[in-house]
Amino acid sequence: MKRQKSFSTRLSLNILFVTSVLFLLAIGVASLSAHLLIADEAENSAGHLLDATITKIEKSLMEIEAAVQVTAWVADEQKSNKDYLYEMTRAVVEKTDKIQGCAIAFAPYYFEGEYYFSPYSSRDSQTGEIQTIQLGNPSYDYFYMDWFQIPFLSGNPCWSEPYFDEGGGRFYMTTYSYPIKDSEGNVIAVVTADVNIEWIADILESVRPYNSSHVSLVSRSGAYINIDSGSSMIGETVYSTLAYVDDDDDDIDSLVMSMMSGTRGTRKYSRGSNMSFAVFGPLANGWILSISCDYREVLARTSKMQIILIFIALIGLLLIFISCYSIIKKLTRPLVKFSESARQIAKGDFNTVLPEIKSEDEIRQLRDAFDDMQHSLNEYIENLKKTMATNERFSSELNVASRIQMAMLPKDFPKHERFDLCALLKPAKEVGGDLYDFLQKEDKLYFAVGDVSGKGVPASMFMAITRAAFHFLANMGIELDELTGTLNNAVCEGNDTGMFVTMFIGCVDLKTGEFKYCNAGHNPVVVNGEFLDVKPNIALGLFPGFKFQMQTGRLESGAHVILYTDGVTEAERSDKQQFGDSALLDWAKSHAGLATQKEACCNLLDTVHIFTEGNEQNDDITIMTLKIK
Amino acid sequence: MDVSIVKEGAKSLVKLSGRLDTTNADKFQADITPLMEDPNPDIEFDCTDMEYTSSQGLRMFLLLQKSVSSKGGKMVMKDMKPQVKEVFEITGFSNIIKIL
Amino acid sequence: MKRLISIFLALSLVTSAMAQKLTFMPQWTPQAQFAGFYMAQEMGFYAQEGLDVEILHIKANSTESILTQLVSGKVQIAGQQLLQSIIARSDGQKILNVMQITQKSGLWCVSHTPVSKPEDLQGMKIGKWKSGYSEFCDMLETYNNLHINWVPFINGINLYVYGAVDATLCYSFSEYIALQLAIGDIPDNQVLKFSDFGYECPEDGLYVTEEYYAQNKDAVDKFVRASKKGWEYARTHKKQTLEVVMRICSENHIVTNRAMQERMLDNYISLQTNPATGKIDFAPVTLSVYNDVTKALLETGYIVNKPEYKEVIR
Repeated sequence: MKRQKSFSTRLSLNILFVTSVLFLLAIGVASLSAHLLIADEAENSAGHLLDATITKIEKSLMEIEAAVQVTAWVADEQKSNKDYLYEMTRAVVEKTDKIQGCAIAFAPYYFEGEYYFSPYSSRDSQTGEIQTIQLGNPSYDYFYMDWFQIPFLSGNPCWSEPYFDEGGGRFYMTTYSYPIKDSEGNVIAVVTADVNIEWIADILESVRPYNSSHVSLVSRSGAYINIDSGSSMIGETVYSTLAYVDDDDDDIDSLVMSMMSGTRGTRKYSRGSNMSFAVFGPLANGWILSISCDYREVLARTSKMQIILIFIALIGLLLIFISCYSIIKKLTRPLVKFSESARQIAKGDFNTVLPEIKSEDEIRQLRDAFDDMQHSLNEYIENLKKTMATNERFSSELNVASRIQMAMLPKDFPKHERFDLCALLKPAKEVGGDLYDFLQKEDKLYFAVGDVSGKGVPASMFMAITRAAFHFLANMGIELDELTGTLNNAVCEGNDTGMFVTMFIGCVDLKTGEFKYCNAGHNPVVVNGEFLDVKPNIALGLFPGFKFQMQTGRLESGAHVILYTDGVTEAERSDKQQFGDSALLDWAKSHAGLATQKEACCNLLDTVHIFTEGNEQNDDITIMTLKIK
Repeated sequence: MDVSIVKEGAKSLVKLSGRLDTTNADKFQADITPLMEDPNPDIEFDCTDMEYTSSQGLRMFLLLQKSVSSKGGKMVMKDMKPQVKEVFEITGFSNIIKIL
Repeated sequence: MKRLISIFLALSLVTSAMAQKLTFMPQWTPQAQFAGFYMAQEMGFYAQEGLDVEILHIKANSTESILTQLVSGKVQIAGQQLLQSIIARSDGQKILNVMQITQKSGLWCVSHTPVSKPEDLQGMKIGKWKSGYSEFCDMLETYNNLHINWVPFINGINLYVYGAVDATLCYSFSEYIALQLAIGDIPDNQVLKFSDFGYECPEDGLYVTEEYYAQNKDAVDKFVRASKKGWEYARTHKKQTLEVVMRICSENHIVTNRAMQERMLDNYISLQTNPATGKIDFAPVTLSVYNDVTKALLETGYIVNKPEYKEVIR
């Protein structure tokens, strides 16, 4: 289960990663363009706000200007009527509530004898009463006041720098001066209106587009206009406040320079790490209005949206991850089942049922292949079982054959004063059907060696029958040729497989030394180191009623007889060389003098083994040796 | 033992080469089965390259001989190597099977 | 115990009664130009010398000049300029210089158009302070063959800012700084420094009447000593000094800002550096400078007879 989880997880995580990157990119691009758009919009909007505000303020200022100008024209007309001039100043203050004071100040000695002549009315800010006085006196040398001197020298109307009204309410004020000129263009008088400008601060306060925005209206010498009487900005100018700012910010320096140059513009600047922008523009009277906005606040709403977007994206990613994970897990569940089935099969249960796959995809193919494999395995195992069973049976068969063979052979060799006889049979892996037998009846010693054609149980059964028949017949004491013939008939009976037995039968009269023998297709016997002259006749079991021809000879004292099967002479070593007849004869000659025949048999066997050098024995080796004492 | 059978009309020419022993006796039996079943009676063995035969082989040849004889045909084994012929003589098979 | 306290009280009353009262009038309304005196007051240097000093500023719209108030005895010590003082002495006002505060002239001219020499001022409308300076202006015109339209102003820079004049006289430590804070940096080629053109007359000094000096030399010396100490303190404790200056401005309803006062203080202190020694030592005006100045005044007819150096400078 652990492996499965990590595959689903891995794949899901990969998908998640790719999707995240894409999301991030998308959000990033979207955010960036949104930011740019909104920043642009904000700048435009602030610009419009600036223009609207400028227009609004100018409108109010122009009202005052208009009032003053009208007063100036009238005053010009009525300048000879001094009393009227006083009344005019009063009327102006009465009728225009923005105007707190009004003067009509004449140039020095305009009126003969009068150095100063300046009717002046002002409203007491606390009581609301209007006072009308003569403004000029040695303590108030109005010719050197800016409100007079500047229009007097320049010939142009102007708005003064803001100042505090010392008398009364300490309002923040500015004075509009309008020069009256004579026909030659010399200034003869200046009409003024003292204006309380705190309403400007009110307007500008409501203008702020963002909470963090700064709105400033500054005069021509940089003094702040939209401040109230308690403000710490009194006396400060744009440049003095700039001097307090620590950073060597070229941004802000150039911003202030552009602003104060009287151009209309928009500028981005940075204060530390904050990016802001300012829109600024001049009023008709030379004042400069600026609105600054911090981009952070401008983009705050998008920042909010950004956060929402990111949040949605995160949820989306989570959903993607979860669904990917569960889908992949579901699709790969068959793989888990497969591995379970595989484990079952490994345990030996070849009939495990494979999981059902409904889809027609690669998983299905896998399942089908698995199925085939399972069936093939099954078949293979079955075949293997059968073969093993056969082999078992085969070997057990061999066991049976071998047991029959061994059971049949005499193992007790008699001790007799006249002869020494021994025999041994070394069976091959596949039981070959060799036999030997001997029988002592009174003075006659019968001995025989035989070789059944074929292998396995049939051969050993044949051998058993043959040996039993021989023993029975030998016991009857009949002549050898008749014995062999009868034996032949017995073996032929019921033998349709073509099996035959080669056999050599001999009989020696222990008293007389007469040796009778009859061969049936068997290898010639060795007597005293030479092959005995032997007629082949024919192997037993082929032709019933065959007349076998017997032969006679003599075995004197000291005669040495060796009987064998072709397992001896045809014993092969690895290069297919056979032991051969001559080797046998050599041995016979050189080993005639061994003490016991047991020794002799073993020795011959060893000799054969030495020759074969351990090569596999493919036929039974039978050796019988007889010594006549 | 390699067995190659060529039909020449009614006669089967069989070339034998190699050894016939216990290891390939079954195979040899399978190889000569068509000869046993062949209705054509005559078989001629070319034994030039026949190296050796065991008693198993002898048995098979005997069976063939019986089969041929029962069909009224002739079987002959030609050009046998001396050591192989010796086996046939020792066993007396040379009296039953015609060896040239 | 009671006895000790009453003795102590009596002593302090006596001491305070014994402290000499004197009134000092600086040259203008409160600003950093007088920081040293403020600090001498603030840190009790005058009190330590046994002086009870009142610093009385002139009002901007005052009709009485400082000189008048000094001579009349309304104030005992006053800040005055060298040029005016020599002229006054020559006119018979027996005043003398007890401490020379600035050692260099800080008189400059700022123009809307580039100027590199006095000749460039030809024909311009130039603002000048209403009271005084007529001798300087005459000298300027005479020695440089100029005809200038002088426009007197009482206070400030607005004539220049509003373009009502082509140029304006200013002090490096006051109007020039005010201009900088009003319209931003002024290009160097629009500034003419008269000290570059041979005008080596230092301006600010402390003056007393001869009469007062004769009777109260001790007190005057003490005042001068404490004032020098005050200036030294102001130099080395600028932050604290600025606080005091701003406070005094505020108390006197002077509308100003910190940047202005800070720069003024720095600039004014630099004017106190003696060009000969490179140190701030409040050295008296040298004889040669005195002679040059009086010579110029004679030539322009502002004085008829030259007051003795020894009489004027103490």
